[in-house]
Amino acid sequence: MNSRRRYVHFATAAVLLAGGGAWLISGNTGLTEPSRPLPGVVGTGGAEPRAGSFKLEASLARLAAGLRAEDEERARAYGLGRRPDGRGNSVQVVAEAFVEPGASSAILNARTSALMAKIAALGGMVETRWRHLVQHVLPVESLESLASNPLVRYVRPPRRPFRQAVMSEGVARTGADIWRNLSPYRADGSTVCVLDLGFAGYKSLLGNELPSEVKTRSFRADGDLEVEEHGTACAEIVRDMAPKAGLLLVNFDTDVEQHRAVDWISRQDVDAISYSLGWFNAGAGDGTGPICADVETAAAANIVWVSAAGNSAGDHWEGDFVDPDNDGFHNFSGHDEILEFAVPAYMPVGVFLNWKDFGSWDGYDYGGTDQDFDLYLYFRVGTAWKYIDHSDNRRTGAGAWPTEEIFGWYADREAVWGVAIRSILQTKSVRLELFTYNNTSAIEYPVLSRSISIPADAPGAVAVGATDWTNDALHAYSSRGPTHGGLIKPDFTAPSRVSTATYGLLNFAGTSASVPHVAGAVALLRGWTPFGPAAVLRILQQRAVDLGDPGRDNLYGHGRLNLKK
Amino acid sequence: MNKHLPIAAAMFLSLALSASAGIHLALFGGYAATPGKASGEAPVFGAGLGIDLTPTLSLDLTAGRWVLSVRSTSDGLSRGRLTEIPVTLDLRARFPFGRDLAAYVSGGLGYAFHGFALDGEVAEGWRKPGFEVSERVDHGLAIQIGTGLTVPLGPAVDFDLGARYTILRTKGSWIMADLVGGQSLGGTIDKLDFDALSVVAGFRVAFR
Repeated sequence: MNSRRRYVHFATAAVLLAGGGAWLISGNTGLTEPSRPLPGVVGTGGAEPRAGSFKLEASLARLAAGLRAEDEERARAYGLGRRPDGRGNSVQVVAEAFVEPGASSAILNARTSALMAKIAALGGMVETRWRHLVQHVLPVESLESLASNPLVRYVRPPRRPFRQAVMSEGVARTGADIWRNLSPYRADGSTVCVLDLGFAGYKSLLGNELPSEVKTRSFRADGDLEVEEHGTACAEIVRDMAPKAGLLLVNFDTDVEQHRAVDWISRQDVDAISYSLGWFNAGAGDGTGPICADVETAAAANIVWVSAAGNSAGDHWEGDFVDPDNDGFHNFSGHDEILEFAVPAYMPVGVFLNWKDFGSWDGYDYGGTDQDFDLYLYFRVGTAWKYIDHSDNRRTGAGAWPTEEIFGWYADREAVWGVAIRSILQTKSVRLELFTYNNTSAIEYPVLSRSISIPADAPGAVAVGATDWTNDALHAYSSRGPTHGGLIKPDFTAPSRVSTATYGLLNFAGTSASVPHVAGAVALLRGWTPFGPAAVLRILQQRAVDLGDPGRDNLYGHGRLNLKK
Repeated sequence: MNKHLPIAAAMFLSLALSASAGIHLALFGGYAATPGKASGEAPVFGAGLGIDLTPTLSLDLTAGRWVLSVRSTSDGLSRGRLTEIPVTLDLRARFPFGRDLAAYVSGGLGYAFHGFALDGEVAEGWRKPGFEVSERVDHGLAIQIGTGLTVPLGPAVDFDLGARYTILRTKGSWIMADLVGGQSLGGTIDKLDFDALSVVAGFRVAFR
């Protein structure tokens, strides 16, 4: 139990995977800044530009000329209205002082000060100023006078940002939108707990992307709830799926903190846990182990645990130990004893080895292994491999976990790393399993199957894989079953590569993004219908859009999440 | 109780036809108000057939009908329309006063037919994601007490103005069915209270 177990959240991979899309969008250099509207041009059907108003923004020009009332009268005939932008007989505007490019700050200040004096002389009241921009409230009848002043380059209404509401594309894809107008039937709503690493920025999203009120609790030793933003993005999607569901945001940092958190959550009125995290070397991969036990704790409290299947399909290798040259190192293929993978600059490298000799799980610990393997990490320089580190825990005896791991090395550039497995004590045939973390593409010898993360391997967990929201294509990284216990996993796939305010447009990918879609669906069914947890899962299974091979399979489970008929 | 109702009605009718005393028919209309979960007001229409047992005592078989809008409640019925048809056998005692006026009190037992139709929007709303919701209300006992005045309008016609309190307590059931997977869940709705206070006016025509 003393081995360092690593969790991962799948946002990192998400950002990496979606990064290409983001570059495509942000890198569209063909776009130029919109041209400034021509002063005084008031649009089709409007008045001709008039003398004295060419420096006055069009809507202000019409307001000053008394034409706004006619506009509104005409619009009323169509049932239209317009929010007032004036303050009685005054209007809030920004006057841009006329300053030549490259003018000194003395000139700028002098011009602007003179402009402010002119505004005051016209009955205006300055609110604030920034460089050559003077925001003020001015009587409507003074607008044209101000605009005609040579100190003024332009008079316009203040610009304002618009709240950019972001809705996951998965909502419409899964049919969750048709639940919006339904009232709970013999049910009294539901609450989803997003159990994650951090909720940075969540406060700024309250009442917009998140409910006005959410409950929070940090189980981190330092109590920092906002240590990172991954959980915030997940919570956004739950909210998109089930807008009326309550949200409980809980974060943690270690396995001990997670156990404490789950104990506490199980005593709350929670219907589902949205868990976009996964662990390496935290169990046998057969649904046993302390992290999987947390799932069972939640299930005993009637909480549906929705868990990320993992983004490890291309980061996973497993096989029997093969050493034809008898040098003690495993041969991945032929004479190749090093498995290669690439990691971006400054991203920490993670390699995690376990062999399937955990012993029996007694609900507290594993029986332990009597086999021993070591793990070696290499870095490629040119065509040569340079030894970097190895993990050689003594792994035999009662309670000894059959795991080794190396984590934390990084390079100042994208680099190729290698990993090797050495047999120290092997008296029987055992299955080896290796995961890498933070690699940009698939490892050299990927084994796609049985790559389900912990605790998605737990029988009680609803494991969720990732399909593209546009076409239901399975993402290559989405972990696949079966589990090492023989269970078909994942249980569902759900939309990924979706939009959130936290990560931006179409930039939240990975099974991390898929999980909260399913958790939100569970929240809808638990909170809007009288069906219990088991029935809710059956309903989701029967509605799932079957993908891949007919019937349930180890890529898509029952299929893509669907809440429609 | 359903199967006994026609027998009771037939017995009442034969008693009425064979009675040497007078027979009368009544028609009435008015408004019913329910203070319970099916709250609201609704027009009431009804009719009755009675026999005069003595000059001041009569036995009336009365049926009324009203339709109420039900607001959704978490433990009661969902939004919809509730049709109430209580049929009661009432004993009415008259207390003449003045020249021709009479006050009366009445009380009786009977059977209430309850019909409930779920609001179309609610039903259709659930059909979209593939669920069928249905609710029904059991028929049950009706107890009615009333009081009022009768004013003669002619030798055989009285004008009747009265108030009735009808106790209508029953239970119901609900089912939510998953149209995709076929599983369904249902339950009972206990303690449905559709008591109604109605104010009615009408005519009683005597056949002697």
